[in-house]
Amino acid sequence: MENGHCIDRLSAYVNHELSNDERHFVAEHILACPDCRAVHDEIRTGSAFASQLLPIDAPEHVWIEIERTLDGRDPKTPWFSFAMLPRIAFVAVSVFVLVAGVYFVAYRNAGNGGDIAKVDDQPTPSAVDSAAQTPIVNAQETPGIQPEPLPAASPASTSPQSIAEVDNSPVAPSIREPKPRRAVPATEASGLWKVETIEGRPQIAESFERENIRIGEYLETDKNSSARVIVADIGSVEVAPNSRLKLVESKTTEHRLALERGRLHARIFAPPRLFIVDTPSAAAVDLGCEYILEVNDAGDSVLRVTGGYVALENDGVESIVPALASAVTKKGKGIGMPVADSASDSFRNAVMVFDFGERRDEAFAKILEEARVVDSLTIWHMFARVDESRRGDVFEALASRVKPPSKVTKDGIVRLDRKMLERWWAEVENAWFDQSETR
Amino acid sequence: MENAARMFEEPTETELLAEMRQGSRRAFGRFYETHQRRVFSVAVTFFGGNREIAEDITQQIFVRIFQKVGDFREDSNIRTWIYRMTINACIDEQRKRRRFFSLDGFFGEIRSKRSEDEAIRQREMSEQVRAAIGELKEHYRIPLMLKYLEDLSYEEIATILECSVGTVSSRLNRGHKKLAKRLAHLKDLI
Repeated sequence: MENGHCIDRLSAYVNHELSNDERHFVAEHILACPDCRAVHDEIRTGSAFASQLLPIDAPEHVWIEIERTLDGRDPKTPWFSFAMLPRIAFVAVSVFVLVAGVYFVAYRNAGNGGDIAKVDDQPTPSAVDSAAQTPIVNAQETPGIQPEPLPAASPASTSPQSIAEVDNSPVAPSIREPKPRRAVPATEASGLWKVETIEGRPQIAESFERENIRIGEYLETDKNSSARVIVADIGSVEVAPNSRLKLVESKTTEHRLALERGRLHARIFAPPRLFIVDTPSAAAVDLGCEYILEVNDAGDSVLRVTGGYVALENDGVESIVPALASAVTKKGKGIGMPVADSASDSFRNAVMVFDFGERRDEAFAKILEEARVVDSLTIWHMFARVDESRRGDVFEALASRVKPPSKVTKDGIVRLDRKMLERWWAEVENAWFDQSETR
Repeated sequence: MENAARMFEEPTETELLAEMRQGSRRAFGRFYETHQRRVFSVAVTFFGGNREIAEDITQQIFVRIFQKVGDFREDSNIRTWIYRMTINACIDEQRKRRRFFSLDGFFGEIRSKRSEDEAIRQREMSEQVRAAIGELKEHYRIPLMLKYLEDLSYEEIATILECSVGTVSSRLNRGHKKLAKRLAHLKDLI
């Protein structure tokens, strides 16, 4: 660690080279530190590019050159030598015989049918075969056109029998099929995720038989069924009864689902912002965590985080929800502020009214009045949700519960200075964890 | 029956090396088949996609392996040996060509190609990444190649490069960032 930062470990973090403890430490630090988060995002982009690199097979002729070198021959054979004359003569005779054969067959057919134009339009099978073969022979075996070694010297033309018979003969490299990359799991590369049945008969793309889901397809559960989706290699999502879930995207930089209705329980172990669940009212962006997300028929949702953090995002508004807190979103109305699980009903109702109700002034006053230290989480989120004229009141309320760090001023916060807000967030976060441990 | 079954078993790498020491070209053919992709991919990436140079290097490396296989110690890792030879050969070749070799034309040519077809798009992206990696300094280029072409751990890379894991980590940090900057115009495509 350099000066309390973790920049020197970010590549190792992105490449999954850290131990679990180190990994958790870096994940939490990234959330709190905008500088490290910016570097992390850059490294992750670089890693995503590098992951596109595909291995390549050496061309077949490299092996031929190697053999020639080992045989003591000059690998760069001239295209013509007198030693090649017998082969050239043989090839020339073969070509002559084939061309003559084609001509003979075509001439005979024309003679039999009496209509040359018709033969050209609809050639007989023998004419097709010959016509197809002729240019191949010319291209591969006429020395003047193709100065490459003759087929007899090429591994590609060595028969399997000759390999078996002569023990010390070189083994011809076979035509190589591209192999799957080890760095990218097959499920991820193909956009295909495995689905396991927990109970009942979940449907994938309206089929009861499928065991995997592709991009663009839906997984649906009825009142008696539930399923588990394996999210590439980064975790899993349990889908509760009466849910409808779509696989939207699966690539190295983003795995995205859309929960249209129902409930899911996600357990994700991945760098922040790699796993996202869209709902009709917001996107839940994983920041390395475990959570439950529920969407009702109206498209409203409730998020409850049980480990790590989740960011709810919609239309430029964000709520950061840590473990042991929850947040509500409403379709067409936006994202609610996070509220501690331990909050009183009165406080929770005030937040609901402030976020989505009509009597916001009353709710505003009630939140500032009733908030405990742990509810600083909610107060901090109010800065971006009130008019400039009210931010001073919010500043005082938060400052009385969590002291603002040095260089964080009331003026700066009132004008929503991003760096000052982030510095104060780090303190709010510390207070949150301190309070969470004692609750 | 047992002997017949054994005939179809793939020989182990140790067995192949033992046969190669006896001069078996058949064993060498199999060895080549196993490792050619490794050597060629590293070489072609080192030179930013230049296949001609990579072919020459692949040829050199395998000829050398066949000729020097007797020097290879049984307790060493054959892959580490191959990587080291390949990287050293690439560095030597680069020194020879430094004054004459430019990637500009190649990079421009690749960049201008576009296709809707996903497989072609992937290959094009791969070639653009290869070209961009080829433009990085050796310090950053080599760890990136070993990480992403061969999926080696930081420890394995450190062993091959004979440096510490911390050094690998720090070079990859910078390599990733430089690569992201060079390919920023393609960010939406990944």
